[in-house]
Amino acid sequence: MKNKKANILTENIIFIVLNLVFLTILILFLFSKASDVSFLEEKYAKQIALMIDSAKPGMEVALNMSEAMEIAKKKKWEEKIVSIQDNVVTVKLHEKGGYSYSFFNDVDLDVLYFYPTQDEFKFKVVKYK
Amino acid sequence: MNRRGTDKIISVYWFAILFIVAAAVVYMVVVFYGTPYDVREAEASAMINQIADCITKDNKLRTGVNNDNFLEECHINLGKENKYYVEVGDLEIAKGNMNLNEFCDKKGNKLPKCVERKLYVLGGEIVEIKVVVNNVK
Repeated sequence: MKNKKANILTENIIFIVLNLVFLTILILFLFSKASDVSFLEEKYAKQIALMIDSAKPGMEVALNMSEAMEIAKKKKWEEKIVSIQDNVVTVKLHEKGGYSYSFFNDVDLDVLYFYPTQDEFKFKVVKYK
Repeated sequence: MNRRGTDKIISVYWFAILFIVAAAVVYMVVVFYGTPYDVREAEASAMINQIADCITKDNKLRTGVNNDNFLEECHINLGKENKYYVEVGDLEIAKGNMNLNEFCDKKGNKLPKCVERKLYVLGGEIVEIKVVVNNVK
């Protein structure tokens, strides 16, 4: 009788533990996707490209990139976070990452790179090419 | 009745249902986060605004802008990857990848985005500007 009760208890415990492990794995997966860096790289690259597309000579733009800075620090990325070359904006927050998006506005900018030293990415549209 | 046997069968079903639910959640999350931000319509609108500013002066159509000098005059760089098509009806201007024009009649999230606007200028003229953007990654 006691042996039967012990078996039932053990089975139930194993059942509960397996359920908890399963749910934990699922929740960890959800959190990893939600905090995925590539999502942020895409967002910033497209945001900067659209700002440049809408800008005119003389405009100064400042974009708060504190969220990107934090992630770059966590990933120990000290190289350029933003680089603009040949009408393409590239945002890179870790070594194996990076997202590029092109813009059509043929303008010259005064700042083409952004390093993780400040929270704001500021640039000025100097003139049309 | 074999109660322990029944309990074992129920737990197998339980795990099967749990697995199906988890698979559905994983699928939805992957689809949601895997879909890129679609900013093509915003990009096309920005280009149309730039073109409209370029081809008009004092609310009238500007002379001197034609198919040959359109990109330089309007400061537009369509790049080398054939991602854009621009058409300005009245001025007979058509630049970029002409193959993108056929997608204007079709609908679909993965197809190039086609945006058309009409520009009213003094003198009663209506200028149609069409931009097709296929800037995806």
